[in-house]
Amino acid sequence: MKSTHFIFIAELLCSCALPGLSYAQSEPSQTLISGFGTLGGTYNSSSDAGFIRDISQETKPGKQYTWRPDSRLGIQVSHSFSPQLQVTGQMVLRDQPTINLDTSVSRAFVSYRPIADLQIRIGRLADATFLMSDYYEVGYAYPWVRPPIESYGVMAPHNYDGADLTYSLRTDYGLWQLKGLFGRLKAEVPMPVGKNYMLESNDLRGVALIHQSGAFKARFGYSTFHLENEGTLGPGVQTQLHAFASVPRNPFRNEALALESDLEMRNARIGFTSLGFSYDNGHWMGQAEISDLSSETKIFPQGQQAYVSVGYHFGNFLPYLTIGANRAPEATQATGNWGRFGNRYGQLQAGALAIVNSQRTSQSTRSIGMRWDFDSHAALKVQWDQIDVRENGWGLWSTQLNHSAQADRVNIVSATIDFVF
Amino acid sequence: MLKQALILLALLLPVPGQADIVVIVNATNPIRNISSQEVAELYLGRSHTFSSGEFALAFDHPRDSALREQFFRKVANMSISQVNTYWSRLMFAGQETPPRSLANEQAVLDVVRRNPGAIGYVGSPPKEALLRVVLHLKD
Repeated sequence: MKSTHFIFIAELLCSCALPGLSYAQSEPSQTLISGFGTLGGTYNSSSDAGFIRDISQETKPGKQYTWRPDSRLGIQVSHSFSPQLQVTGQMVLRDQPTINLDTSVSRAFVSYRPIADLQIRIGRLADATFLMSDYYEVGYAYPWVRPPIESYGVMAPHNYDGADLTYSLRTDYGLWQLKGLFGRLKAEVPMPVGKNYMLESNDLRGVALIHQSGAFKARFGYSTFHLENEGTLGPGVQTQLHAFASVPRNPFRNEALALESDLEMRNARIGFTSLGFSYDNGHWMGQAEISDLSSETKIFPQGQQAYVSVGYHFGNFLPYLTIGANRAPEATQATGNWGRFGNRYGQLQAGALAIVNSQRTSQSTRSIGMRWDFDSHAALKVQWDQIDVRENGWGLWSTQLNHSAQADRVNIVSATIDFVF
Repeated sequence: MLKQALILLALLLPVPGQADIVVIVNATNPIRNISSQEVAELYLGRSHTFSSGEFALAFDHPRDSALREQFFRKVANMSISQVNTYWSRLMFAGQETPPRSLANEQAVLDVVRRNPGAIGYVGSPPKEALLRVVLHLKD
């Protein structure tokens, strides 16, 4: 799979680098080299929970000043052979568990329009889960320091390999677009202990309905996939849970079997549903999104997410307020103390519960910030987030398994410079 | 005093040629006129064809040009920062490619003259038979 990527990317780069070979005489042929970047710094008031932008990142708990979550640099090369046919390649250097060519190539696709209202894209494409997923990396493209974390924090894969098809319909009531997509996903997700989890899926499928009318945009999206790989936390613990459940006349048999099943990741189905709105008339800016994330394994975030943001443009200044929240199904609790069968069973129970609850996401954020477009290609943003994390709700933070799962309030102060070129 | 007031007034008045922008197509293009909304949709990547159904190839001016700033202000009521933010979304998402930007007005005239599917805009009406003005954007 990896070698196919490289060949594909190599073909793309060749066709972009040598546009003159066959298309020099053709007027529409155009190579466009562009890029984007963010230089950001963050202060985190918590000394035992590390701040991350999404669950594909990891940081050392206790590290309170960091530039890593938001800083990134992207380069894009696209070549148009005609208004109908384009190729695009994009690389992004950002904080992620493994940085190599394969993980850094964020787009590599061919786009073809057989007719004006139908677009087919094949290759590596941007994730399409949320309203802003496909420009999630581009800080310059949105008002905030980062998309609201309660929603976008669960975004582990930022792209997929596959194809999508978009049909556009222009009406008196604006532009409607219906999109269908399928493909395979791959992302590395750090875990509180042990090895990173390789999130892989071969059966991603999704649909989206997008409406744009003047300053207003709405988007409904649904996508689903099955996890290919068994978890990295579970197997050893699952074996012990199974052995414990098999003890004759064990009153905790059902609890042990339930925990064993909660830890199962292979073949678990994940489903995302989201509905988002955005509005910006050059004076008022507003955006809101609600989403539901269902998961058949507890070692993946699940529950509901929502945010609302409002801002007002004063010339080149855009101050804004945002509130965001997410909630998860009830945390898994012990039904009794296994320790009475022996100390090691007490530890097994505590360990299994900590793992099952470690990915629960339950928190709310109030943010105040401002974007200043000091140049036509660059903006300075400052933002203060006050985050209340509920008990057993630390799934969007970088924590150790022995981290206290108690509720706490954390303040995050960030400043970024976002630019495009 | 009067002289100063007149100078001030002259400074405030729009400079001739800056006030108007004309949208041009190749003379072989069947369309006779186009609305400013249609022009905005072509330059914001929301539409890809003329009303005739033919694919349109839009050409733009350098990102920081004053003419471009006035153009987007007139057709879409957007500032250059807003246009750049808008295009950064579509472009880096990989959804659309922005109109190709050319070095100057002469380059726009040349490319529209050569290309039957092209559309461009310039600061004053060109006086040549190979080009057709399809929209006047007045102040």
